[in-house]
Amino acid sequence: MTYSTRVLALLICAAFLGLGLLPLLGAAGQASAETILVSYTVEPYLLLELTTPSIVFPPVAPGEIVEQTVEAVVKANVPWNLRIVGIQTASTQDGSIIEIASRLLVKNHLDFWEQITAVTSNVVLNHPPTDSSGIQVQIPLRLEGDFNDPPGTYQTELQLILVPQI
Amino acid sequence: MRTATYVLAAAVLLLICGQLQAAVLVSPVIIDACQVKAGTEFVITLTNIKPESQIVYLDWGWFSLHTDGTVELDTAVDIAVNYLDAVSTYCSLDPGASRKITVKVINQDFTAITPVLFLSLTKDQIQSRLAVLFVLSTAVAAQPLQVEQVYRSESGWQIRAVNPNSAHVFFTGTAEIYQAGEVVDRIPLGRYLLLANSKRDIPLPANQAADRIVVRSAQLRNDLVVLP
Repeated sequence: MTYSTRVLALLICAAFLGLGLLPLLGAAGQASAETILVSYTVEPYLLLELTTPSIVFPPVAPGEIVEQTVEAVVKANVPWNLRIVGIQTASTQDGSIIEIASRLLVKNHLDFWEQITAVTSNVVLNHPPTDSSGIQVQIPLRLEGDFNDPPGTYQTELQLILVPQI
Repeated sequence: MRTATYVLAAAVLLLICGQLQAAVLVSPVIIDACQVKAGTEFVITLTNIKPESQIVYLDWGWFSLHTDGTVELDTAVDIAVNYLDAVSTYCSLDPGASRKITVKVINQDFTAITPVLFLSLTKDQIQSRLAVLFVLSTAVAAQPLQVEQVYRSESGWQIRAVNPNSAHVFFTGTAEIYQAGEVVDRIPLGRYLLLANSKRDIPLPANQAADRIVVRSAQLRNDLVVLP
């Protein structure tokens, strides 16, 4: 076999080898273009922040009505409800607990004044999810003085409950 | 006539209060699981977003659902403790810190239950509460939901779906809005819980110009066609 024949044979082998590698190279190219399926779960969350830490109503005479507003911030990625409950008793300045006749009312989600009791009242009903800065909720409260309460300063408690709509 | 006798009858101080403006982010607030067994655990993450330490108190209640979807809370019921245990009744959170609460199923002697875990930010001067709803079933719903009624209310068209299963089911679906025989919109219907063996009204999207609404849902045996 002459030198030139050997070179020709080598070139032919190299060409076949190259052709043989092409599918592999192609396969490698395909692999680099494949997509990865990424899945993740976003959990439902809620946040409630009272921006009005306490409320002091002005002195009220029997039959009079005074109003105040509680403010809160809600953040949620699910629909939500905001409710309010209260107790029928109040503590006096000397610490004793008494039943009070004066009424505390809240403006409910239907825009009606509703007495705050141990049964929850809806302040906000089925509100859509908020953005990341949340939504400020204003809750109007009303105090109606009653003739049956002796003069004095009373302290009572309310509770706001944030509930996901489901 | 109002006289001076009654002046200053009562000055009422109302506290919705606490020492500081407390706020804790809670997730997840809906825990939904089927085939629940004793020993199954759920994890709830609490994050204190305020620069002050906070104590979160845990207590249990129960919830039910009206046909219109209103969640009814019962804070007096403590039967949840027969089924679930949160290990502790409170947890403290450093500023900016997160903490995980593990709730464990301790008794699987039920078919479907709806406990609520209340997370309160103060104890003696009660302030705010977040409700974490548990939707737990020991079985899996095998039967499709049924549509009992399609009706028009003030807010628009509604379907009354019935869950015949002894397990809770979430309804999800899409409403296809047709005009002149063509689909003009596809609207996701959201996610609605139907408690075990109960009914629930599901609102359809309002569209005055629609001549046909087709509800497609994996929880229904067949597509539902509403002709407004």
